[in-house]
Amino acid sequence: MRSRLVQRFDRLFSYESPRVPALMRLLLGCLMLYDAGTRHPYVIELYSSGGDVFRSFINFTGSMPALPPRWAIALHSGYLAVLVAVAIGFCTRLSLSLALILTIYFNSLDVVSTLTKYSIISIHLLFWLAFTRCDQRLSVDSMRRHCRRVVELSPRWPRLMLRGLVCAIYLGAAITKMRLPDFATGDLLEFSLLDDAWGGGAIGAWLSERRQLLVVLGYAVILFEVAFPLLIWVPPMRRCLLVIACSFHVGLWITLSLQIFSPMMLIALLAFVTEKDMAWLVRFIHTDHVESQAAINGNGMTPMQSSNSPFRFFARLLMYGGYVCVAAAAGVWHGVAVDRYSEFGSASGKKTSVVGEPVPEVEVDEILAAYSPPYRAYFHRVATGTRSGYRQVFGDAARVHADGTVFVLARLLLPHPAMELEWQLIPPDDGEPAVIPGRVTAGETYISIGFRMQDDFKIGRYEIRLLARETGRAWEPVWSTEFELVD
Amino acid sequence: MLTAIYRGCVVILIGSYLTLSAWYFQRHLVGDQQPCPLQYAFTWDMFPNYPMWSSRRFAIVKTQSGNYFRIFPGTRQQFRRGHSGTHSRFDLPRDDSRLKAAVAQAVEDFARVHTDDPPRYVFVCERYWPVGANALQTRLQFEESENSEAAQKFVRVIDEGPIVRSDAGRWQVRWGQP
Repeated sequence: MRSRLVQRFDRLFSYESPRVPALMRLLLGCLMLYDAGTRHPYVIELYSSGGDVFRSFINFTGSMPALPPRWAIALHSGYLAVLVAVAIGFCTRLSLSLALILTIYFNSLDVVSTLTKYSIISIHLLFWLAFTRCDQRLSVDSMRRHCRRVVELSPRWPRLMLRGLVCAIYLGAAITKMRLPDFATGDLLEFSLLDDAWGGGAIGAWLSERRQLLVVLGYAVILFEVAFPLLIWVPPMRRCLLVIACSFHVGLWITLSLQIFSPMMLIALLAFVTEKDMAWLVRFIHTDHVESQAAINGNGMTPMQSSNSPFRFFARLLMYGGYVCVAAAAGVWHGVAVDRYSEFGSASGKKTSVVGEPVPEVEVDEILAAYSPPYRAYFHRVATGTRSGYRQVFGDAARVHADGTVFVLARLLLPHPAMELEWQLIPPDDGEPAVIPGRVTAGETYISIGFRMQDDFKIGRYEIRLLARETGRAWEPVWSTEFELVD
Repeated sequence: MLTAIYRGCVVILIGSYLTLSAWYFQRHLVGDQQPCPLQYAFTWDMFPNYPMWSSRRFAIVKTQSGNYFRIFPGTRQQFRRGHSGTHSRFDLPRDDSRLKAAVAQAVEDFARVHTDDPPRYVFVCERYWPVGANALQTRLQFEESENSEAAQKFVRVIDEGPIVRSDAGRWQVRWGQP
């Protein structure tokens, strides 16, 4: 028993091929570069003292200062240069460490980017990748060593931690969803798909109308997020779960606007990819056969020691510093020349400086009338059926048999005011309607009612109407439907 | 010796990371959320909330001569996000205090440029609509039933107030004093 523990402990410190960590580093660098690049024109607004800095943790005493605009542009340009270095593997460990520090700094200044959890995932990935030898493959650093045909192997434990990170992400996400009752009813998915910030795609909009599919998908997502951390360690299940995980994230990518969350997770999932899985890719990448075989065999490997002379080390450090400084200077020069925020008083900046756009008085009157929604706008969905389930109705309510029941279920949008309701069941030939009063308090999200159609009810076409009002106001029609009562 | 030190450091690092993960995992499990950077970094709470209304926020000033100008989002708020790239950082997350601070800054910028016709009053408004209207089919149903753009989108005044010039020469908004 003890020897097995010792074996496991030793295995933690064994070495493996650096190919997968290198691929993760390359893709992560490119992805973060894309994300940071799209924000770069807005550095003054997002990260400088001249903009609207939204600190992530306002009451946190260790909040980092926002720099003046020129310095913020310089630092962000340097950040882009560091991310390029991460992607191409130039002074890789130094680049990963600097990228980690700068990612934490910029995210602490912008709550919007922090609210998207991928920025935190990227911080964890950068941290653990810095302990691997991801510089030994697919990198500028490796080219130098390749001339000497030396490939250092990578320690195994950082990749184990990356695997643990992915499992923790899925488990945490599953707990969040299990705590939200709206996830099980499909409401959360539906509203997310409809939202014009997070959802908004055509496929998402189409999917949002498939209620029962959303309920099934909701449960499937929770099942997957719980199963993945448990079963991914079982070798026969690994590939199958990886395929499901990739499909899941590609699905999210297509239906929701989560920025780079999905590709970030796909990169994190690479932590579970082995040398054997990489075999197909290896054909396309120049490889060292001995290294591959050693990595596949697993144990008993030791890293090769590189022989960096202090002179070379400092020369490279100097070159790296020069590269980042040139990038920062170029960024400042470009930022001042473009002067998007009219911050530097340049000619192009003055051209874009338009403060206030005239609005016709008629339009202002219309805006300031502050028209509030009709009551029907608070009702997101009203559904009818002949059977009632948990926050759902089922069955075709267009034709109801005598002695059957018509169930009506309404989903309200929050926030909404407290309202008085009036349900009306109007019999055929405009007979005297049956009126059932009701109420909905400000926090309620669902209301339901059932109309039992007794044997002695007249056969024919019935109508159900729903009216609403706030206390003391006039009734407004909200919704109506018709159904046929048959024998 | 060096190997033993290396291994010891790695064990401490892994142990610390796993301890932090386990601690914040159990806090997340019991629902104890604190606004602390470390907890945020170790809590995987995707889908924490979801809006049921879409909205866009803007501000209008009335000048001394009675003209109106839309001053916000302005030159200082150029960053956009969201599926169609139409959300300013004040549309998501919706934080009224930050919004009012940014509008106050926009008022100052406006007053600095329009010295001959200074601003006198500001309205901070929100145009909003149910998220359901974002889906094309639902939007079409809305338009057919009401045949009006106004039926889909509603407006509320978040805050308003007169603009005064302080002794120090700064333009200030007295929020909530119509």
